[in-house]
Amino acid sequence: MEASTVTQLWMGGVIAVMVTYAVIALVGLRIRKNRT
Amino acid sequence: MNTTLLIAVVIYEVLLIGGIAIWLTRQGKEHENEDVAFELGGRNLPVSVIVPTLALTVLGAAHILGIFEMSWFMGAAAMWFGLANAMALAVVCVSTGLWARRMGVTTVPEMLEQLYGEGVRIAVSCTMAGAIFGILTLETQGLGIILATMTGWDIQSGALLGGILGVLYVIFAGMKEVGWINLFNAILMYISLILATYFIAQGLPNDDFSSVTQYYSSLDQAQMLTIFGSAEIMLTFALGIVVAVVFSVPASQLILQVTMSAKSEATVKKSLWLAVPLNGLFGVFTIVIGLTAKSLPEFNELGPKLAAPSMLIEMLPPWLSVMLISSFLAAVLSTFAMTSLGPATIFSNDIYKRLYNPNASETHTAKITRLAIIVLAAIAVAVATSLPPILAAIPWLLSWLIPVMWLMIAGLLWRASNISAIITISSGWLINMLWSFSPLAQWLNMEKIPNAYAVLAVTVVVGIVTSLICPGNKGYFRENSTTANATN
Repeated sequence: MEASTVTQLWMGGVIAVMVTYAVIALVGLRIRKNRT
Repeated sequence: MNTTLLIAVVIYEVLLIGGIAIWLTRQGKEHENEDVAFELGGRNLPVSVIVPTLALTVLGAAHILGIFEMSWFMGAAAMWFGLANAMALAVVCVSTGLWARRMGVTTVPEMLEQLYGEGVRIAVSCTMAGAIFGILTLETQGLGIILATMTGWDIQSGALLGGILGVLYVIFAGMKEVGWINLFNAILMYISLILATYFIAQGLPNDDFSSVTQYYSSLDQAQMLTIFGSAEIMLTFALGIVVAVVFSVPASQLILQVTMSAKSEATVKKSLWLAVPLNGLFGVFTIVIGLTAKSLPEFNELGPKLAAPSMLIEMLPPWLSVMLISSFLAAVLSTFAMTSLGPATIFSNDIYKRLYNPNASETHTAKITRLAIIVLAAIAVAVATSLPPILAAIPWLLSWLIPVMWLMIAGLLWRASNISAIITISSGWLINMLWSFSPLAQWLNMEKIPNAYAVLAVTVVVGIVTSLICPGNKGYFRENSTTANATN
């Protein structure tokens, strides 16, 4: 169901947290790759 | 509500949290280096702690504020929200909770790595942490609303005070602390709910709830008094919420962290008999309160948000108001504690320890978990005033976890295919995004279909087809039959 503007903004915030975790993980993967 | 009441409630929470924290910190010095002491209580928690923690982890703001409001519009059918959570708890105690405990893992993503490899672990870590963080923001909003109702403060200040109490609930001794505080709070909660129902009945004509029944019957709304409501409510609300909750919560770090902390599988199995009714019955009391408030003219005019809380303050003696509000606050605080501990544990174990510092000690990992709890809680407090209605937002969040539930069931019991896993979770998450952010549902003429139905349908179809086509191994428990039958 398409959501209201406030709900969409909040959903965007949740997705931003997911993306932040992903970025930190990708940086970790890169550092680990460089180490080996 | 007056300041004395607020002070009494805060003193109760601080004394309980402080007392248990001091007791556990003294004990903890002897067990500092035991396995996952902070995140999983050393995997040694007894039934008396697991029962209230299972029950209270999935009993938060939506059960209190959400059900008060929902019962105004749909009557006793709002009970389905509580029943869905009770069903999910039953599923946890007989299946996913036992599997998580048996595999000896600390997080759900770690479990999935054993089935599908590191890529799936990382993808699920990021998504699950975000989804649980979303629940954390809603719980923080709930804390803000409860404290604001009590004090007349704005929601932001209420959320700040609630956030501080919530962090204290978990920061000293982690899972063990949450568990022991929950034990005391669950007892308080049921005593005060039973007493509150009695005192409210005493305040009604005939000293019982017959006047409430008469009110709805006189308006020709007898369906408000049955949990089956109308056919439309059953199809759109009841079934939708059952699907969203039952196919997601049992795979969530939020609840499986509790069963991973249990002393044994027998502890989880025994917990079923008390945790499920403890959780499910809560909704009965909140619905009775909500329906009664609407039937009384002086509270009816306050509208769905304020009627029930105002009635509790007006009709109950002050000492019982303190007990009841403390127990409501405790229910939300316990969920706040677990929804901050869950994503923080995922961060410290699946990202920090797995990718940055594989040799990190238990003490060091616990420090990272504590730091992550504080950061996540601070962000949740900061955004608490600009959030959507609690119940409108929860099904979307839970839908992110439906593909994870599929991965768990398929990988353990049927087939574990890495390629299938990646395709399935990507499809499930993509449809959840498209259903909310694009006019796809409108194009398909399915606007009234909730996200959970769409995600579940896509996940199951894609999951089955790709598992049959793509190369993979037998399910984990099929290959390791000794592990499958383990009882401890």
